[in-house]
Amino acid sequence: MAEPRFVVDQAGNRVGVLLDINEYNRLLEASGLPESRPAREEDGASGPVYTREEKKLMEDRLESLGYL
Amino acid sequence: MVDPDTIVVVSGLPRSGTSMMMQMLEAGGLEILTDGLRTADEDNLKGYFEYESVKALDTDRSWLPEARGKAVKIISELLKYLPETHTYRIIFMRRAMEEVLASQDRMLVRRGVQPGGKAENAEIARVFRKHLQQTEAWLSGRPGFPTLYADHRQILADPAREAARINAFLDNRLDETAMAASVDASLYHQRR
Repeated sequence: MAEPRFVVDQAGNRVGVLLDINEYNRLLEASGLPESRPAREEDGASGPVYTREEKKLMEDRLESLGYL
Repeated sequence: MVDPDTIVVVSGLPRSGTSMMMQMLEAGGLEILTDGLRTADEDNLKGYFEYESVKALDTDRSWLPEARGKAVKIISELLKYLPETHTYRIIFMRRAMEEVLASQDRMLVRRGVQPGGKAENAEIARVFRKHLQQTEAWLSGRPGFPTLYADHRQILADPAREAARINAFLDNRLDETAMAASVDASLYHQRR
């Protein structure tokens, strides 16, 4: 992990931090914060509208083929 | 070869030509994210180009940074789990549904699974069509997921033209002659 670089105010107090983008993404992934969540959540507002039977059919097929 | 921050995602239904596309990209000089666990067999004579961690994309996305600057195969059902924190180019494979299902049936048989027959395939086809329609609509509304649609049959018919189109989508950084040359139409048996 690269050393973080801090942003300081006129009094020398740390008020911000600059992170390597890869480190930022790693931390974000680990945090579970909203920005790191999938773009489309199951059953979310813009999510799939499969019936339970359709979902099962699809998942069974994908599993049988070794893709899930 | 592509922007080092961009993840090139090859997607589509299983047996829609995603492995063929991965092979083209690799031939063109794009690094592939694969673990080689699923090795070549009768269904994919040149290999699957898969990465096992993709299957757990719904719960573990920590590996995604490894895919930057590379191509990774992610079936269309899993695209919804991609976080918008990364930069993507999606190449989405299209293939005639009857060819997809025929190819899947052959694969099921080789895996020791009895295909469901005509009635089940009709229902699967309906669900897959619905899935594709929804996924394409979803992609079209996501500026963070620029998508190029590539048609399996058109690639076989005119690999040079399709390689050029794909290369343009990836900022013309690949060797499109090598991409086109990697397409071996004789390997694809399910054309109807």
